[in-house]
This record gives sequence, structure tokens and C-alpha cells, in this order.
Amino acid sequence: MTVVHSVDLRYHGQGFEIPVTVDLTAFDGEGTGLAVLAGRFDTEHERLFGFLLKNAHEVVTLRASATGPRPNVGAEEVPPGSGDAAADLAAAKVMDSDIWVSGARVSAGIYDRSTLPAGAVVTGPAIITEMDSTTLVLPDHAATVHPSGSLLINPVSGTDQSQEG
Amino acid sequence: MARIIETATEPVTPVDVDVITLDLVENALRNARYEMDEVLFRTALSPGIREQHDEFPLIADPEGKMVVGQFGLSIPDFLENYDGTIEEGDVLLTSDPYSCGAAISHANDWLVVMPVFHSGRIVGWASMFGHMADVGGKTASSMPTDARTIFEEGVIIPPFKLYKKGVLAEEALEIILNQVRKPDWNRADLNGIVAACRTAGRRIGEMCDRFGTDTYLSALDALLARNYSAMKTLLAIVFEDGKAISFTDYICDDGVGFGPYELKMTLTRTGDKVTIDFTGSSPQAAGPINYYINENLIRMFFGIYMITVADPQILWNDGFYPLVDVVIPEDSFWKPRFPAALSGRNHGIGRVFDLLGGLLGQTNPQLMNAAGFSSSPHFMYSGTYSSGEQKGEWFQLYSIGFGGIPGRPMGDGPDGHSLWPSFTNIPCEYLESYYPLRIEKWETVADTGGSGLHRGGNGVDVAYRFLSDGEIAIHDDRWLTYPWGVLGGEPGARGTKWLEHLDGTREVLPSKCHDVPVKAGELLHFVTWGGGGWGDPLARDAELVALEVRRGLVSVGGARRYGVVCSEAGEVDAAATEALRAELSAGRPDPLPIFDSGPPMEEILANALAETGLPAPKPPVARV
Repeated sequence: MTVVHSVDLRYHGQGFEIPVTVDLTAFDGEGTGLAVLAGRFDTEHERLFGFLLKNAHEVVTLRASATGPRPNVGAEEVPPGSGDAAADLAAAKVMDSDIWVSGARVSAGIYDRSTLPAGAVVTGPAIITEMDSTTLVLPDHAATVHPSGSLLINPVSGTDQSQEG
Repeated sequence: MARIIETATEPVTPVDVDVITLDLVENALRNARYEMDEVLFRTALSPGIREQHDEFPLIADPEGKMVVGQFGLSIPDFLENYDGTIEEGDVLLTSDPYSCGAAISHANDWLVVMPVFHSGRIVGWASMFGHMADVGGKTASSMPTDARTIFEEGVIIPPFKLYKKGVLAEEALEIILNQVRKPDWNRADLNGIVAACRTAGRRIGEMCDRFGTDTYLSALDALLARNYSAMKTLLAIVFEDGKAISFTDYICDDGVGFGPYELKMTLTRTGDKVTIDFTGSSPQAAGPINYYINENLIRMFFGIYMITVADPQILWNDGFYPLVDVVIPEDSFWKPRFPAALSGRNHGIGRVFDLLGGLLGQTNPQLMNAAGFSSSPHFMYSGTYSSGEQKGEWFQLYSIGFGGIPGRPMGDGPDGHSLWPSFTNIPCEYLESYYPLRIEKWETVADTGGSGLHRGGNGVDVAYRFLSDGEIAIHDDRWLTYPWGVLGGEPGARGTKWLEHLDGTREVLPSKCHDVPVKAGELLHFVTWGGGGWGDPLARDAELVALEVRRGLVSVGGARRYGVVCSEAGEVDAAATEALRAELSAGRPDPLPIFDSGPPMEEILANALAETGLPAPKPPVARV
């Protein structure tokens, strides 16, 4: 466990503070500690904004932050498919629907993102739905489910189109 | 005309930009523009900028065309009027509207313009202006309401190099800061503006490094072209070819006893282009309300209205300018002759949006707003602390008031908001911490929003208790003419200000005044106006009206304007409501008028003293 002391400072009258770390040993009772703080603030202000003011420095917050070692956590991974890619896709498909793309109706599969396994490839036109978002895969594009859960959308080879993912 | 000195001479090659790169550049520019805001907010000292965000950033292409920004300034007009060379490391500053072709419109706005160079070539401009809380002159905050010339409005900085090749013109800056009442504020705010422009410059440089200068500049062209083609389509959809449409609104008075000033805007589409013509507007004002505006700013205001209504997500910019011609008559309210006073031009700026709403709404109900809170009313308070540990210390406040946003096609107008979407309120806690003030009220005033299917937003009553002797100043309007309603909606209520003296007497203050002495213990009620209503009030859901009665936004009596009968507890009497609605409906013209501006002007003027406590202004006279 380590403890870091810091102070949020600003020029008097400003509405934004810059945190600077404190060297406790500099507080010698003769004002050295505050001078060090002001110096560190000025250095940071100059770096961030390119200028200094002559206004008084104002202390807004005193802070002690305790930091412990990282607990043993890892990123979650999407489980891999069954080996039968077509069956996996079919299982994740909710329905087909007509969608309007580039001035024409086309039939698109609608998929549930939470049931797509890692490595699944959804070829556009398609819509991938989830609780809080919707992803459109345009014609001539395909979305591959990355083990992290990301959808990597790329033009299908042989075309030169591109799309936001 | 400014002469730009570049050390790189080989031409830029236009290249095709793929949509992903274009998207990256677009969003990086948008981000850089907001980063400019943040840098300034974090370093500014004056409450107008630090808390209320009275500043306007812009990033332009090498010719000065805005590719991203907020409206309100024009680099091409600045460059056209600057007689000198500009090279890498220069940072220019001005506050003189008359020396920069009205790139800014009053001397409180300090405009910084910075060329952005990359490998010896100009790749754009970063620019920003901020409203300085004080720029000297005869009254605190530098906006005397009786000024007749700009010389009464403080220090007027001609365009000059604040930094020349990176070196600060220290003596010039000190001379300027010696003219103002709060030099530490101006110094910090100006430094913040320069820092913001340099931040934008750095981001532009990073984009040129990453994508290549050719690609970056071609992307800017593509973003500009997109606005051009969007606008071309919009103009053809919205305006009938060859048909002139016109709208007139008013500024109530000019601070020296004349008014109302008539502001007229006429728009005609001819083929691909439209012409916006201000002919028919009042002559220049005797007082400081003139809004000196240039043709590009009119394009900008028109553009933001059109483009953001059509597609609020698009990065709106100057690309459409060739499609809009503008006619502004000389010696008018919009183009006064030097050295006319300019400091009170905030009402004119706001009224531009009412004019556009009234004008464009005639052709397309989607664009039809009622009259809104079309100003940024100012409240100023200054003096020396008369007691306490700060006794003898100078204090000075410049702040922007809020009011009712109009009823709109999309719904009700918000209560107590700024005309400017990105402005924020100064928290009462801030005012009470930094000033000898106690805010006894900051509340919405029931029934001040015009009734309508979509209600106009209510104005607010802010009650300031003064804890120290001092002087106050007020800049407001719409105390005389009404914020009009549309499509059957009624006008909002007008604004009013009064002082409660220590002996209990009330004094109504003019909507534009300065150097008004106040004593510790006196109370100012600063009541702003409501937005106009949109659509038929009798069609508003009676339960919604009752809900607003319960919330204190509409009174029981006010509910009757919607034909709603309800109890003090906000319970609807359905039968009585139906009867009242039938009765009101029978007594109305059919169809309902498109605009409702309240009583005719003669009646408004005749009743001014009785209704507002202030005498009617005298008709404006042309300058001789």
C-alpha cells in the first residue's frame, strides 16, 4: 500500500484546479513547502496553457490517495463457436427484414449480438442488435466477432468500399 | 489586405479523401474546437467567460473560411482590413469593429486571430473572441447605455501583432491593460484565448503530420463542399423561386429615449441563390444599440439556422457562402457610420434569430419558431466593499440574464434559459462567494411564457439583495414590444426591472440604464421576458396544463388561456374545460393568425407608462 499526497491549486479567481503532488519533507516550517507547491503548479500551468499569471495561488483541495496492488482480474472473453459456423449463425439470427440501402430495398438478417460466438462472421447486409446499441453491416462488408467482443467490420475482399464500425 | 508570408512555395495538390479519413478530420476538428473552449474556461478569471462562456472559437481553412466553430466572427473580413504582413508566430489582436470590417461588433469583444503554419505553409487559422468584463471607458463594464460614440465605450484596440514571430509586444499590452478596471481579468482571459488558439494550431499541425498536408487541406475542402451542396438543396426545397418574403421585428428603445427601432429582413430566392436584404430597417440609432454586422456574419446566422434545422449533426461551416447575397444599407441600424456607439448591440444580435424565425417560418412550418429570448440581458454591479474583511476593495460583476425560449415545432420552450445554447448560468453560490450579493430568488415566473400547443418558456425573476453600496447597470429589451406567438400561440410577457428601496418604495428602472446608485440592503428584481407560444393553446392537453399548474409554471388563472378550468390543486374540471374551450373557440378568428404580436404599436405606445411604468420612447430620427 502506498500513500501519495497531493494538492489541487489554482490562481485566485480561476475556476479550474491543477493537482500537484506534495513533498511532505519540504514543509520545514519556513515556507519552503508552499514555495515548492507553487513552483510545481506554475510548471504545470506553463506546460498546459503556455503562460503564467501573477495572481496569488489558491489551495482548493488537500488529498491523500492510497493505492494497493492490482487485484487478480482479467478481461472477459466471448466463448468460441461450436465448430459449425453456419449453425452458430443460424442460432443467433432473430429474423430477416427489408432495409433501405443506397436507394433500394434489400433483405438483411437481424442477429442478436449476445449469442454470436467469437470468430463468427456476419456478412452484410445485416443488422446486429444488443440491449443498448445497433450495428449496421452494409452490403459488401462483413463483421467478424473478435474474442474481446468487438465487431471488426471490413469490406469483403474484391470490393473497395469502407464503412464506420 | 493582409499579406501572408510563407517560406514553402510549392503548390498543394488536391487529393481524394476517403470517407473514413474525412470522418476522422471532421471529428478531430470538432474536438479541437471544444478543446479551445476548455483551455479558456480553465484559465479565465472573469465570470462572464469562466462561468457563462461568453466566448466564440473558430478554426478556418487557409483562406479564412470557418470549417468549424461557433458563429460570431469573420476572418476574411479581418484580413481584408488588415494592412500588413502576417507570418509564422504572429498572433493578432483587435477590439475595434470599425477596423476589421465588423468581424466583431463591440469593443468589449477582444478578437485574437492566429495563422497556423505547417512546414512553412499556411494551413489554416485559429481564432477566438471573448467578451472582456471591462475595457475601460466612463462606466464599469464599459457599456454605457447613453453612449453616442464608440469613444465612450473604453479602449479600442486596432488590429496589431500581440505576438510578432512569437515575441510578445509587452509594452503595447501593458498600455492596453492600463485602460481597464480589472487588468488581471483581462490579462488572464486574453492569455487563455491565445492559449486556446495555440492549442487549435497544435491539433491542426498534428493532423497535417498524420494525414499529410495535401489530405488535410483536401478534407477541409470536402467539408466545405458538403455544406454548399446541402444548402443548395435546402434553398430549393424551402423557398419559392422569385417570391420575396419579409419580416419586421423591433428593438424597443436605444437607451437615450428613441424607439422602437424597426428591423426588417427580406429574402428572395433567384435560381440557386438567395438574397437577404435589410433595406427598410431603421436608420442608425442615436444610442449604443446599433448592431454593426457584416455580410459574412449574416450568411453565418442564416446558415446555422438552415443547416442545423436540416441536420443538427453536420459539421456546419462557411462552404455555402457563395449561395447567399446580402444587402445592408449604409447608415442603418446594421451598418452605422463611425464613430457610432456599439456597446449595446446584444439585442440586435438576438433579434436576428427572431427575424430569421419569423421569415423562414412563413415558408415552412418546420422552421417556424415563436419569438424567443432574443437577447442577452446584462446585469452589472460594481463598487467598493462598504464593510467586512474586504472593505475598500473594488468589485465588479458583468453577468448575462436568462429568459423564456420560444415554443417550437418540436415542443415547449425551456424556462429560464439563455438565447445562446452553450451559455450557462452563473451559479448563485459563485455570486454570493465572490460578490456582496445575496440571491433571494431565482425563479421562473408563472404565465410569462406565451400560451400555445407548445408553451413559450417562462421568464425568470432574479432578486439581488445588495450587501454593499455600489452602482448597477442593466441592458435589456422587450419591455415595450411583445415576444410574439405563432400559428395561434400567444405572445409571452414583457420584461421589467424594479428596485425596492430601503423605505419600501419601488422604482421601476429603464430596461437600459447605467450608473444607478444602490445602497446596501436594497433589492433589485430583474424580471426577464417569456418566449412566445407555438400553435393553438386550446389544443394543448388539459392534463399537461394542470400538471404545470401543480408545478407552479402556469397559474389557475393562466390555465384559462388554454381554455382549461382547474382547481388550485391542479385538478381538471373536464366539463367546465370543454365549455370554456368551446366558448373561446367561437370567439376567435378562423384561421388563427400566423403571428400574434399583441396590441397594435400605437396602442402599445399609448399605454406604455400605465402598463410598464416607463414613458414611451420618441420615434427614431435619421442621422443628419
